[in-house]
Amino acid sequence: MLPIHTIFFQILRYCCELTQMENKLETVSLLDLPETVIELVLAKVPEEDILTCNLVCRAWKELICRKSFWKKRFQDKKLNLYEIPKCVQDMQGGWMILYSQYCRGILSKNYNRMPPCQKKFPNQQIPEAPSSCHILLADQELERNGIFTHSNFFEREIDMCYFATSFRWCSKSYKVDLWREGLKPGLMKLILPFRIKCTRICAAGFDCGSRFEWEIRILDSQLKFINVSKHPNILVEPRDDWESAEYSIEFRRKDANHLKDLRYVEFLHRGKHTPCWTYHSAAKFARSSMTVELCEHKPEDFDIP
Amino acid sequence: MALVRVISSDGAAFLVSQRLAKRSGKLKTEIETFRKSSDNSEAQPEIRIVTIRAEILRLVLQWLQQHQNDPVLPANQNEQDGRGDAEMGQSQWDRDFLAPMDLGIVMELILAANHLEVKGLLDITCKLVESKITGRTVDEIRTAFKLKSDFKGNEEEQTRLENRWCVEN
Repeated sequence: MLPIHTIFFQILRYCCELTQMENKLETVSLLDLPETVIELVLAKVPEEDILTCNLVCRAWKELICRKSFWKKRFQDKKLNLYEIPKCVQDMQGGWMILYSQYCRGILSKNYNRMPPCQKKFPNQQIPEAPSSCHILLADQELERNGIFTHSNFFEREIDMCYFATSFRWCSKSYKVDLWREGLKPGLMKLILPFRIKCTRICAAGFDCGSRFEWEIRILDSQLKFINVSKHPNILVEPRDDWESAEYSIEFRRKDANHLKDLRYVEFLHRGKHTPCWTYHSAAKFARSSMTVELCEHKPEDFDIP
Repeated sequence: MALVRVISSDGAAFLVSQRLAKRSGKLKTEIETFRKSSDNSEAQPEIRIVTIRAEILRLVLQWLQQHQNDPVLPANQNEQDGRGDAEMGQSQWDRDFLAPMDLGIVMELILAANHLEVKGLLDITCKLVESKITGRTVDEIRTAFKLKSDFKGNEEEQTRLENRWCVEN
């Protein structure tokens, strides 16, 4: 028979152990954590890791798909969430558009990454032009990075931001890889209807007129043409103002099945002087832009399942 | 020195100086509310925090004590500014403070820091948990957070497909 006080202490110890165990159990199980904590933490996770987090479990995925999750991030990065229409934000998979807009600005950037030339050359002094083509390379860095590729259409020369030509045809082009820029077929389908808008800027010499042409090509991943739109010759009067024009190609619901082939947009323009004797001044091309914009829905968009 | 009694969900009372307590946005509001409603300006305020247990509350107060002379960071400070970012404020003391804690405790601290509006503590705790996520694989994250995949049918496959659309080639 144990003395009474030993039994008492035994019981007391047992109780203490129980309490300790309870304390251990009380430690919040990570599964039951209120959403707030996960939200607070995920808000700080770098964007590239978001695509791992949404595979962890349903709760995390659900959180990442939520508009409020992105609203906060857009604010932190000083981006405007309202550039994306509400219907796109709310649709199933809309988070992908939010993600891609947040990381790559698919709906607000200029896909043409040539630096703006008007800023670089505020008062263009066109140097003496050689017989065929005079090219001002403003930023050879870009070429080394392989952003632009050569090909043999026209007597094309690749320039980085701005070039001036003399009396023979001279052209410039750029090719955008939409997939590499973050606009993949799955996303294109979500943002239907949308348009790819190209803008070009050019100017004639101050003492002679110029002739310009431009062309937009849509290519698939094998570089086969899907769509080519050629624009007629335009004549620009002798003056130094910059002239701009834009053209867009629309994709609507009925085109949904073709989107998987859509990969490159190639944009080229070329120009030459109207008189053949001049070499003092020249036709000028500046940076062009390519943007992706959402379009209004038309009634026929809704007829297609 | 004016004091305030802060009481945890499990009934433990902590007596702290008002100056220290006011470094928590929530406690500051509570103290001010108490002042307005009380006729006796000498009365000692008593604040019940029903969502935080003693162990966690003690840690928050300990952290506040250590950082009592730091500038107070506005809660809505923009992350892009860089200022007030966790890394800037994280001292050796903070690292030693957080080192022995398991993830569960840290998560509770996050909740507490959020509730009490202690931005500095919220930053360093979130940063710590975030480091268990950043650069890890899905399985590593699940292990660290003791989570199991609860996707049904092809949900996980669908998410993988969606993710592929979001990354460049």
